[in-house]
Amino acid sequence: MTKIACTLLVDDDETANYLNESLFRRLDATEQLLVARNGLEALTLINRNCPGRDCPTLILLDINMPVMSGFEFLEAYSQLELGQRQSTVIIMLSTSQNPRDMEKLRQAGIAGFINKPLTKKALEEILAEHFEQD
Amino acid sequence: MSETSSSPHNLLGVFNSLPAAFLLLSPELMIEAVSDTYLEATLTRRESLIGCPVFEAFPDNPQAPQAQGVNNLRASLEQVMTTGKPHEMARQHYDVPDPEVPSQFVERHWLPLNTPVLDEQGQIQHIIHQVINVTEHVQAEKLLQASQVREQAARADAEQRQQQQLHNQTEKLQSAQRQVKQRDTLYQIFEQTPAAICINRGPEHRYTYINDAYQQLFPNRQLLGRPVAEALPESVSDGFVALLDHVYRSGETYFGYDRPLKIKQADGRVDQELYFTFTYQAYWEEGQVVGISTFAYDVTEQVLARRQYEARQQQLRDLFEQAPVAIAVFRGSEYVVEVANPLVAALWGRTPDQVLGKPLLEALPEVRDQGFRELLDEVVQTGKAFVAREVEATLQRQDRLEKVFLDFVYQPLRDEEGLITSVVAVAVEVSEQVNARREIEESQRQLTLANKQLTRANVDLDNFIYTASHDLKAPILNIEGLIEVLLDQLPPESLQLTGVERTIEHITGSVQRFKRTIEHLTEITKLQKENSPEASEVNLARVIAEVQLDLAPDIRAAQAEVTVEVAACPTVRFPEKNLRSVIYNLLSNAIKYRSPERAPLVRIHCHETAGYQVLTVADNGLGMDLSRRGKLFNMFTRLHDHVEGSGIGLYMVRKIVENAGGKIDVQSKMGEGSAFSVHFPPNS
Repeated sequence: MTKIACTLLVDDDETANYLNESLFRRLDATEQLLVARNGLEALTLINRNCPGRDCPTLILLDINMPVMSGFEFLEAYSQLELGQRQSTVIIMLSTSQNPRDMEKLRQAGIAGFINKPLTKKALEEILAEHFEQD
Repeated sequence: MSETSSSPHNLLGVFNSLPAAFLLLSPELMIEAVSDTYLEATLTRRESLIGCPVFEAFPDNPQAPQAQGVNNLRASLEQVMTTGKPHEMARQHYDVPDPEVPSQFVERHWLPLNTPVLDEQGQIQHIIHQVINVTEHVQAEKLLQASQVREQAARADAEQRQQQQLHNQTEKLQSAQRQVKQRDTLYQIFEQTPAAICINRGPEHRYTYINDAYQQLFPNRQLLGRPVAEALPESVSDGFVALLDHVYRSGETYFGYDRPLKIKQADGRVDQELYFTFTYQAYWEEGQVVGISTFAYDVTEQVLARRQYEARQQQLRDLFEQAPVAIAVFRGSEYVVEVANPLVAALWGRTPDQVLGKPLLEALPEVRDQGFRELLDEVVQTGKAFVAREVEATLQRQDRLEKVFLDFVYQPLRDEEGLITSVVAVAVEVSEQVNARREIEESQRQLTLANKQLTRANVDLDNFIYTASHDLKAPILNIEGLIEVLLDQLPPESLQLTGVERTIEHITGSVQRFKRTIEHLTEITKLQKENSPEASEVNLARVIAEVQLDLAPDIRAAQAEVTVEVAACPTVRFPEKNLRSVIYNLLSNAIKYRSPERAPLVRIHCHETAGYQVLTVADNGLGMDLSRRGKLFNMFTRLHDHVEGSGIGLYMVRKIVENAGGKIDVQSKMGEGSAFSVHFPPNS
């Protein structure tokens, strides 16, 4: 199984981050795991790390967060230079079933959406779909 | 008197009894025979006349020197003797001796005719002297003349006294004669006038003259010579005699207008009612009222016509008075209130007396600036009626200004020449209706407002549920994840400890139930949002088959038998997703609430009735106490607690069906089973 170079978890829920982190660890799915507590932190981190070795190739993005929500982050992210965006895969991860959110997700131009919680099966599917090396 | 032959004797008998006054004279003017009528007229007896010379028997009356009876008769008789031809004399004053009083005469006036009787040789044998007694006529005439003479004399007298002039008797007589002539002329004119004229004399008002028109008023009544009260008894009861009495006493002229006189028949029954316009004018003789002249017009037709007109007017007035609408007529440029029925007055908060005859703006000063006058001006100017609905007006009623609403029509009224002289207003007050409608509109507005608030509250509630479910979901998912991590981290032997496995089972069970509840809440909010998804023709059998597939593990586990008979409804018009949800819930309920005493049997069938397609899901399960059915379809109601359930399913089913215009009902018996029937809305 391939390993992700750098994964960024963006969630204000520390328990969720803790659980996801332990899942990644158990599956040994990523070289590097970064955590941001909201969209703004994530944006700062990307600005600092990208492009570069520590630039995340997978971002698991929560929707509802203080300071900067997932959607606001996506908006800001789309304004970044192409070089900073590279080939980053962004997956939305949320408990929200609000139809308004679903509609926005469809228009957000992201790689995928996963209902919380992130399960072993879902993570394996992400790896298979986006990070399988032929 | 010869009695020598029977023939002359017989002839004499005939002559004597002729029904006229005759004398038979000899050529010597001796009286040879006389008729009984002549004897009667001359107050004589036959034996004193026969054989007597005629002028001896009838000498002149020395007290009437103006009468020339003897001379005139002698001349006439001599003429007849000479000419042998008859001679008709003018009227003669020729008095006869009074047989009662010697040397006194009785006045007589005659119309004589003298006729010769000739023999074969043309010789005069006899003269027949025939007379007609006109004494009464002449006396009546003289009476009238005398009174006229007296009257004239009186007047002349008065004049004379005034002018201090003397006139001799001859002049008086001449004047009187002229007057008489004038009178005659006047009477002639009177006879021809259409006015009814009469003259009554004396305090009894005796008729002394009536013209033809007067007599025509009272045909078949003898008037002349009779007092009014006697000739026309009705004139007493109807007050005419009293009026005559007054005029006679006072000498004042009386003018009567349209005065009624009820003509009665002999039996006292009123035959007809006549109306007169008349004058009673006293006439005087020697300073005394001696009579009354009457000029009268029969105005019965005019009075009746006017009465009829007035009756019609009254009818119109009654109509106005009693009309169930308010009616007023405004006349002239100031719109004077000419007609105002009680309803219009009530509408104006006034009495008819307070407004009648006043200009509109004087009668209702408060309407000055409310545009009514301008409307009236426009109606008069254009000649077109103005129809208004629910016009607001402020009127002074019982000392306070009241706002009213009126439906009214202003209709111009034209005179004979087509000019608009007035405007009729017909109005109905509709304040109550308008106010009632405004109240309804207000309550509708409030209802709409309440609805908006409710809708907003619903949206808020939805958002709340989303937020809440999201916020609840995250921690429970975390707990679930953490338990998994914990189980991974704990040493395997610790899991073998007594009770730990059961505790873990309960924890995971609780977490699962928590998650399901949140799922259902989310489902409900989804339902509210998607309450009118697109309906389409859905293949019922296919949807049922798909649901059966979804529920296959449960069906198998329960060893349930499911039969499907929906050929009667190949398709139903319904949002497919919702249809699936309905069938899913009903079928899963049927299996979930099975009876432990028998093998579960679920029958799904469909039939069409009264425009509805009815899909029934019937089971032989536990059944329910339907006295609590009212709650069955409510949210979070659970009639059974021995199996998992959130109390959401049937609520959702009902919600889906009713939102789509359908309905759902249930039949159930404890211990026998339940049957839920969904009535799909009629295909349209």
